[in-house]
Amino acid sequence: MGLAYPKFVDSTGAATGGSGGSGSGSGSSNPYRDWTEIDIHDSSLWQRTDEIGIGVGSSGTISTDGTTFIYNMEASGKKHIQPGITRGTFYIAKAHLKPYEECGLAEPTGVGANAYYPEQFSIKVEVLFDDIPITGPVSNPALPIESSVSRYGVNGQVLAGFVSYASDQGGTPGQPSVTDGFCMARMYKNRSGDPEASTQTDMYKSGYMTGNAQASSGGATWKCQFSPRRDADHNALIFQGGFGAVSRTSLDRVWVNGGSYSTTNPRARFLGPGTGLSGGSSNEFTGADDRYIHIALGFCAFDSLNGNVFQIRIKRVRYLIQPIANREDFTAE
Amino acid sequence: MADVILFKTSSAQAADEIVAAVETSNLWGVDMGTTSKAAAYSTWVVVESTATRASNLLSSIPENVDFEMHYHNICSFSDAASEEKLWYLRGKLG
Repeated sequence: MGLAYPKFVDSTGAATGGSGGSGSGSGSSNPYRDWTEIDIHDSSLWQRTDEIGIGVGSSGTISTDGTTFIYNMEASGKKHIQPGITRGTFYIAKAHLKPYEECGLAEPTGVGANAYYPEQFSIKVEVLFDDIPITGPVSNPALPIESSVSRYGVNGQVLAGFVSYASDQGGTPGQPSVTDGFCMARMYKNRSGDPEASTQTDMYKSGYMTGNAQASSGGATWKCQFSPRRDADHNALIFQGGFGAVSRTSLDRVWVNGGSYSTTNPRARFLGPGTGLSGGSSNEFTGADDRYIHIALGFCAFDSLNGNVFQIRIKRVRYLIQPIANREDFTAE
Repeated sequence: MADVILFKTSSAQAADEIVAAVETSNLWGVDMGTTSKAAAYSTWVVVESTATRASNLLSSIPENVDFEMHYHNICSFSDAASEEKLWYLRGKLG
């Protein structure tokens, strides 16, 4: 396995056995169907990176009680991630993806373990949030409920998806390139009001971000906006890699998209921009140059103001690598 | 290389006001200099500027304006995808 200690879970998040799993034998893991959970509460699996430089804000703190992972940005200072700017925090899985091995398949002759062919593997990354206002300073007495700088965590932002490197990082991934090192789903708190007192459908916005472009859409409500909680409201960030034309010219790019959905109602549609992409650079997640891809999260601000104060609460991170035995037969490891 | 941001406003008049503000070098308190450009259609506005000015704009969006999309170092026409070329040229139709 490429990532240490994965747990195989079914569509509800229950363990189904497999390497590192704790299931009761209800069925062996199926790489064509089952999610793999990366334990967000186990810091040994993750590498934190923060940009260092003039104007970069104080680092947020990371903590977990084993159930809820919390990123707390209490201090003022610039903490934004935007195309071309990475002043926020990346939290990167230390192991890079090995698409074939993680599906129990042998790499074809001449194909490296890190090689990724978008047309042969569909990859999703999902982040499940806590149901309380996920970027609002609620339930944390150290943060003001509402002030000129917090405004219920406005502009607090979460990213989830891929960071990639030209070389093997040896288990200690570095700061991704600001222009071609990341492509991720994103959501952020767009409005400044109290999310528990408003049903605005653009209180939060969802979309994608790469080193080259970013887009987002409003149109959904999140679980924290209704009491009692409702099944159809969103509670998760979702990223998906897709097809990409490669090895032709600088027009090449891989199309990815990101946004949000509800894990408690599969009929509640995904929310995201109509079209996503990974930018105009030919080495952004195309697979063409066999980059080393790591699953990663980003904790950051949408904007570049000094006064960004927010809190992010995460319950679970999982991913799915889905091999498609189409253009070639797969062989078991 | 330039950054380009797409905004959605609440009215055509609000969109035109953004274009006018860019032409007078000050949008939402951000100094847009003399090289920034903007164009509007209906309630939509596109603003082209340096990367620094684009980042400053993202920090200054008023509540009645929606951020939609942002290209950093947008590619040239020749490097644009076919869909992008199509929309660029459609905008030139009379």
